[in-house]
Amino acid sequence: MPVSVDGILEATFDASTASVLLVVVGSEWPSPVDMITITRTVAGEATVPVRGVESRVVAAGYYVGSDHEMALATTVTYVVAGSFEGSDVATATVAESTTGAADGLWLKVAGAPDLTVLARTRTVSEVASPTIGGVYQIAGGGGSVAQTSAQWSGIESDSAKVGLSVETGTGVARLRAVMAASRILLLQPVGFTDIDAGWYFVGTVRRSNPASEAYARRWFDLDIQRTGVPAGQGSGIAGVTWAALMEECATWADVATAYATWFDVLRGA
Amino acid sequence: MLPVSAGYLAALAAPQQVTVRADVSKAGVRLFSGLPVLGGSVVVDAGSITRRRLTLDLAPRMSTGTYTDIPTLPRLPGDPLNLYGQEITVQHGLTYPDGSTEWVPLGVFRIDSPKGSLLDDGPVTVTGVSREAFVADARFTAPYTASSASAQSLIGTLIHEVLATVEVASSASMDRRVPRTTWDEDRWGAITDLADSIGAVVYADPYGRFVIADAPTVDTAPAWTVAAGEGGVLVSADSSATRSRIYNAVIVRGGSPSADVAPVLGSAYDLDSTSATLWGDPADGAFGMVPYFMGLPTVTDTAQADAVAAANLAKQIGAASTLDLSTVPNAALEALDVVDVIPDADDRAGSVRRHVIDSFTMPLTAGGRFPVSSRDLRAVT
Repeated sequence: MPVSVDGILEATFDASTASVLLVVVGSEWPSPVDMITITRTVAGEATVPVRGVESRVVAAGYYVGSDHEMALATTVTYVVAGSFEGSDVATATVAESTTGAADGLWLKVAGAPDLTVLARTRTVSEVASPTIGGVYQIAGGGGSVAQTSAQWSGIESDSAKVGLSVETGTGVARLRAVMAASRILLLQPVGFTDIDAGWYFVGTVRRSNPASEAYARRWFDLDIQRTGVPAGQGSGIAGVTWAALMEECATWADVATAYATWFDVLRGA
Repeated sequence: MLPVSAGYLAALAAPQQVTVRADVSKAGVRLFSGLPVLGGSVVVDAGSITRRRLTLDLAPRMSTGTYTDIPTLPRLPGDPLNLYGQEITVQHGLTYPDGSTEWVPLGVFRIDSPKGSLLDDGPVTVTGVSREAFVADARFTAPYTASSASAQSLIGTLIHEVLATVEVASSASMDRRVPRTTWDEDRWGAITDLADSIGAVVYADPYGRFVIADAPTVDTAPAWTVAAGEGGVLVSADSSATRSRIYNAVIVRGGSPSADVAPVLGSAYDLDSTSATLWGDPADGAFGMVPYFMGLPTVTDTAQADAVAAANLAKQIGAASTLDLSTVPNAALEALDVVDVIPDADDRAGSVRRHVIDSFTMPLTAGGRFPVSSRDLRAVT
C-alpha cells in the first residue's frame, strides 16, 4: 500500500473496482486540520481535484474515499493539502500504479464509484468525428477557402456505437442501474484501444437477447458521443457498503469488536 | 471597416481557423467569461435603429469549475444571462498558422430575450441588440426643447442623458448650429434628425461606443475588395434592380429661422446627362421626375439644406441597383462600408462595381453563410 513519506496519505489501487482507495490519516498531520483538498496528476495531463474532495471539511483531518475517475494502466500521483481555519498546514504526496484492471470496458458514473461495472466488448463501430466548418467555393474559378473552428481542434467530438455483453442477472442489473443513474459515463477500455478512454454521452441504449431465454448473457448496444467532464459532487467508497458490512458482521456488537473506529470500517482496516 | 492587421484581409482568402468568444457583464462587472457558444449569428443592418442584433445559441449548462456548473437559462434577475441590463460581448477570432489569434469585436449586446428549457435539455437561445436600444427606449417623458452651437455636441448630450459614461466618438466632418427645436417623445428620432442635418450617421460600434460618422459618399475609399477568381473571397453575387426605390431628387424642408420667415428649402437633382436616372422628361431620354422629401426642423439655412439633399441623393439613386453577395466571412466589416465588387476575374477593371454595405449576417459557426446586401454607390452632380 503506497503511503506518503509522512504517513498522511495512503493510495491503494483496487483492480476489482478499477478505483483507488484514498485514506488521509488525521493523526499524522503535524497540527490540526479542518479542510483538505486532494488533487490527481497523470503525466501529460492537467492536475485536477478529485471529485468530492476539491475543498472538503473533515473531522480531525481524517478522510476515506475512492477515486474512480483516474486513468487506468498508468501511474497516478495524489497530493493532499490540509489547512486549518484557512491557513495551510501541510501537503503529502503519493504515487500509485493503476495497472491490473481486467480487460473489457469499464463503465463509471461520476461521483458514484459503487456503480462501476465491467462489460465485455462485442463490437466497436467506426469512430466518427466530423469536421466543424465548411468550404467557401470562390466564384470565377478561384478555388475554395476552407474554414474550420479553432476550438476543439476543429472537429466535433468522437461518436461511435459500442456493443457490450454482460452476464444475465447481476451483470444486467448492474449495467441497467448504471444507465438509470446517468447517461454521461466514463468509459475506460482495457485490453483494446478502438475507443479512447473518457467521458461519453450515451444517446441510445438498446438491450437484446441474441439467443434463447436460457442464454447466459445479454447484449447492450450504446450510441456514444464524447463529451466533457460532468459537473456534480458526490464521493463514495468502492466496495464498502452497508450491505457488505451487514454480511460481514451479524450484529452491531460484532462491528464494534471488529473495528476500533468508524474510520477503520470505511478504510476496511 | 474595423481596424485589423495588415495580414487579416489577406488571410480571409486562405484556409483558416476561427473562434468565437462571448462574455457577459453588467454595469462593467464581468458575470461570466467564456459562454458555451453553440452557434448563432450577428445581423448588422444600417437601416435598423439597433445596428447590430445578436442571436446566440448556448449549451444548457455553463461550467463554473472542474465539477460544478450552473444552468444557462436565467432564473434570478442577477443571473448572468438575464435581461436586466446584462450585456454580452462577442468577439470573433482568426487563428493564424503560427497559433496566434487576431480578435475582432462583433458587438456589445444588451440581452433582450433568453429562451430555453427549464429542464436544461436543449440549447438556450439569447437575443440581444446593440446599445442604441438603451437610447431609443428612453423616450422623452415631456416635450424636449434644446438648442446648441453644435449638432454633434447635442447628439452626445442626448446619448449621455441615458448612458452617462458611454464614449461618444465623432469623426463627422460637418457640424452645424442647432436652433431652438422641440421634439415630442422620440429621442432616437431627434438624434437621427440632427445626424441627417450634418450628413452623418449615429450608431453603436462593436466596441460599445457611440460613433458619429459621415454617411458614405462616392468619395469614400473602398474598405475591402470582394473579388471572384484566384485569391478572391466572392462566393456568389445576385443583382437586382427596381424602379420602386429610386428617387432622382431630394427635397429638404428645414425649419424656419424666425416666425416671420418661411421655412428653408434645399434640393438636389440628378442632372448628370450621362446618368441613367437623369431628372427630366422620359421623352427626352431622362428617367422621369421622382422627388424624395425629408423634413428636418434643425436645418435652418438654404446652404445646409442643399448640402443635406446632395448627401442623400446618392443614397436614393443607389437604391436602383442592389447586390446580394455571399463571401468568405469578414468579421471586421461594418455596415455602410464601401466595397469594390469584382464579379469577373478576367475583367477586373471592367466589371468592378462600387457598393455600400447595407446589411450582413455574421455566422458564429465555422463555415456558416455570410450573406451581404449592398447597393450601388453612384456619383451625383
